[in-house]
Amino acid sequence: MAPATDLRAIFFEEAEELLIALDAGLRRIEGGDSGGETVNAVFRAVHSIKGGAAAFGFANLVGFAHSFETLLDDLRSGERAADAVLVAALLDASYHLADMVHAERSETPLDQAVQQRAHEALLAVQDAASQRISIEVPFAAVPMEFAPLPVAEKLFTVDFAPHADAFSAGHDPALVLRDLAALGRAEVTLDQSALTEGFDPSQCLLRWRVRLETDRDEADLRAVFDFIAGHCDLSIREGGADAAPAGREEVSPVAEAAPRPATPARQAAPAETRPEGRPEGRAEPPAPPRATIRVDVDRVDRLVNVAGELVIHHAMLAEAIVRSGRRAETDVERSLDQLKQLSRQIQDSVMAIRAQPVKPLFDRMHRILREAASVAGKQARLVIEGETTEVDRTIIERLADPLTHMVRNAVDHGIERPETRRAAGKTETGVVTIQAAHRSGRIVITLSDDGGGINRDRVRQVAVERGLIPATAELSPSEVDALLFLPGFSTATEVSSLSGRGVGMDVLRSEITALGGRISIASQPGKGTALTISLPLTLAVMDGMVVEAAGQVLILPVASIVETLRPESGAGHRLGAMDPVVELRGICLPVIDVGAALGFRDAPADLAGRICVVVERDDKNTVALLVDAIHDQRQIVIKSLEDNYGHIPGIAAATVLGDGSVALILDPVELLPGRSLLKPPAAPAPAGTARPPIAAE
Amino acid sequence: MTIATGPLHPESALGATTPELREFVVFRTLGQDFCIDILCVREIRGWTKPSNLPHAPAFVEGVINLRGAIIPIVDLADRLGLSAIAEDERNVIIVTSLGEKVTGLVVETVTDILSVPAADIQPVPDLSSDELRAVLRGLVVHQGRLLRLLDIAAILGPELAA
Amino acid sequence: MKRSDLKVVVVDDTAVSRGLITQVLDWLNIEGYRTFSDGRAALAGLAAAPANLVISDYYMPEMDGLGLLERVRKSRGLERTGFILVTGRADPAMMAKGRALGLNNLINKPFTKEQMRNCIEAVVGPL
Repeated sequence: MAPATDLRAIFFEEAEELLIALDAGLRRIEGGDSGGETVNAVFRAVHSIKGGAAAFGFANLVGFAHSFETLLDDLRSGERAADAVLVAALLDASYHLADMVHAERSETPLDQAVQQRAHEALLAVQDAASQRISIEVPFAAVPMEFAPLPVAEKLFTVDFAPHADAFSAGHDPALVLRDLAALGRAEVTLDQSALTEGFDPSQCLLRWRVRLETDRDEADLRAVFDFIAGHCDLSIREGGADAAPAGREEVSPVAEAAPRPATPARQAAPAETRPEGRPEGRAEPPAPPRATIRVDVDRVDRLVNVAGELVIHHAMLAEAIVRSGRRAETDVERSLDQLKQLSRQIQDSVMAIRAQPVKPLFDRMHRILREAASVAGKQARLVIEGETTEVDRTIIERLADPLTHMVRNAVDHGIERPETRRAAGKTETGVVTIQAAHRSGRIVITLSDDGGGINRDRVRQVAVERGLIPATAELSPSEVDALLFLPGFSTATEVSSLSGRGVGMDVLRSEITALGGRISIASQPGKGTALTISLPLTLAVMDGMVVEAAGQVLILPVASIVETLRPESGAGHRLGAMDPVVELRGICLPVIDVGAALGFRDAPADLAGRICVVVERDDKNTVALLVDAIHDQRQIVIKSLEDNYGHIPGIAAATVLGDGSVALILDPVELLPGRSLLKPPAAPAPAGTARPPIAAE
Repeated sequence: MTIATGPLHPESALGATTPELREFVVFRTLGQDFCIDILCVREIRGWTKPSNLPHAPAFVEGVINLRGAIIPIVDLADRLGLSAIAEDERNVIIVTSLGEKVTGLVVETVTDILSVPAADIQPVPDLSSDELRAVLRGLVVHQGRLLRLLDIAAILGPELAA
Repeated sequence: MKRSDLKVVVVDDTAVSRGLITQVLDWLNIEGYRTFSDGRAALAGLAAAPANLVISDYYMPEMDGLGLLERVRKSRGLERTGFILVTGRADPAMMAKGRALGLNNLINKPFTKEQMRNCIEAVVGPL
């Protein structure tokens, strides 16, 4: 029979989970854990995918999964050890299985040749001896004599109080009671106390209590009341009634308001009074598993925006109260403070909804690495650190491509061939490490390899050949490394099949920049290369210091501020014509005049009478930012400038102040002393608009 | 029984003429009259002092807060190569949307909303300066006034945030 | 056996397989069924309210289908429960063990609705 389409959707959803379990299990096996439960879990994953695929007629998938399963059976039975060859074959098979599932899901068939190669590769690792002959032995059915099932009867107490308007809404309580009684043995008690002299017979003023012994469950009982649900008060409890008289808990307000007693108008059900039984003991329901819900991302995003507005309007309200001169009133002050706490909590909770650990993203890189290594004829393994670091989901989604490129680059250009590594005294298998961490209110992701490092002589040579730098240019090692990010630079003298589909570092950099992030490179000859991406935690609220420079109100992220100092007259030194430095406990820090760096004033201002805010940039360099005044420190909501305008060098984002005006948030890293931020300077300073790379270790 | 006379399908009669009518927001800046397609206009609001943007072209006055969104404010006269208009609280901001981007245009005053038959839009004569011609889609003569029909896409092109 | 009286418990760790089985039960107009995603939950459910027939997958985490059968046969009041094992790979060892534990029937995946009906009827009699 053709399975329903919703089952099909469930199959693909479950297959996705099974593939993740399969991947995790195989990597445990790769790591040396070939314990029974690990192998069984892997086997079950493949087996369940096969079973589902069979029901939907995905013949190729079934065939492949069957061979996969057979190989796993050898492992399970102990006939095969989990050696490197077998594990490699199993990993490859799992990737192909994933591809096949995705192909069926998207209804875009895989290339036949690819499928055949994958299947042959899988069969090749099977021992000929273990090729099982499957014998179809029919199972002889054993008929069963059935005794009537013992009926597990339960006692329910149902209090049913139709609203006064139940009759006019077309309901007949008698019919409802009859249906209820049909579910088991019922004892019905009528409460007619609301019937008073001269009552309105068009109103339903009666209430009933029903004791029902039945094998049905509560949902079945409730179903009886489906139609009248909006016109009655209803209580259904398992067990006998407590000592309270019928109708006490579920008093209909209309009935209460009814006039004096009179004779009953009609009796809808047999009424019989009996002594109330004691309630039967009821077991506590088992704790349900932690519940999750799926929510449309748009809804969360709307909530994020509204929560941001709330924070801004708190600030506006606070300012308005100050202007009204009523701030001193303590209850106003206290309420305002509580409002601030609450809006911050709402903000944090909302952001937490969107935050997700980077683990699933990083886990996907195992496959990328394996395939890249296989094509390049190299050996490499992936080490993941900090995978529980949480990032906004929009960032996670958009990081997949850049990260893939970085992993491929690391294998392609970083890790050496096994023989080269051996000659250099390294292990044949190279190590690529991905790390994630929060630093200075940003997320920092580092991808490092233990390969040969950047061949700076060749990089220089290529840059000269391509006319990117003059042959006479004098570049520091880190400046040479940064040449890799220049458009039009490609290190590949030998273009591998991977580079062919990979991308240049310039594309990688623009991908990261588009996320509001930065990328830098550090390399040590013979030891390896590290790429560091630093990304903002978008849409978050952050603590900002409100400063003023050249008449403009600007925000500095508090997380990056080390300290502030007021240079005394003459404390600053000028090196050359432009770049002043200031001394802080014996260390000279470059001073960046914020007003001048942003072009709000022409000449750099005198240090005297101004304030230096010392900031640590996330590339770990420390600089002093010169501002005219510090106004305030407060929480601010980050607003995108890119949405309606575009990226401005030196500006991270914008925010709305309490008076409704816009203040720009400075990006300390992009503020460089003595350099125009508007246009990249001419070569040989490729790091002009970008940051200088991390100094080579 | 009588049968109703007059137009049998008033809706279709209306529908037949509607496509030919175009609606424009008419405004004035530096003494000249302009109009833009009403479909580009999200709202018209009073003047708010923008915050300066570094490294922005001169005609970008800065950014303002529009109900939580940060939008750039462009001095239209300056953008058109006339001179910048004086900062004045009586100026108004026409909030336009082009694709996903929202931009405010500062002008001296909004005078009218006009329905004009499409056939009445005249081509731009050759004598106009190249700079102006690049941002004009046509001319509309209305009650003796010459309205320059602006091409919003050309005005708020990619060079805005460059 | 009247199909309206038949109480069935379906056990499978994947929602797809549960759905494929209950789809057949729906087609057979068997209304009295409950589903469980693992053997332990199924045992608890059977203890609370017995059933005439258990249709269970073989490969499940923690407790496999034969493990469930063994526990059902040992549970007081559940001895007379019919048990059908659903499997994608029936090997002779599994069948022998099933027979020893009193398995009533076995069906291979994938199955058609007619195959499943025949399999059920072979245990409970014509529906």
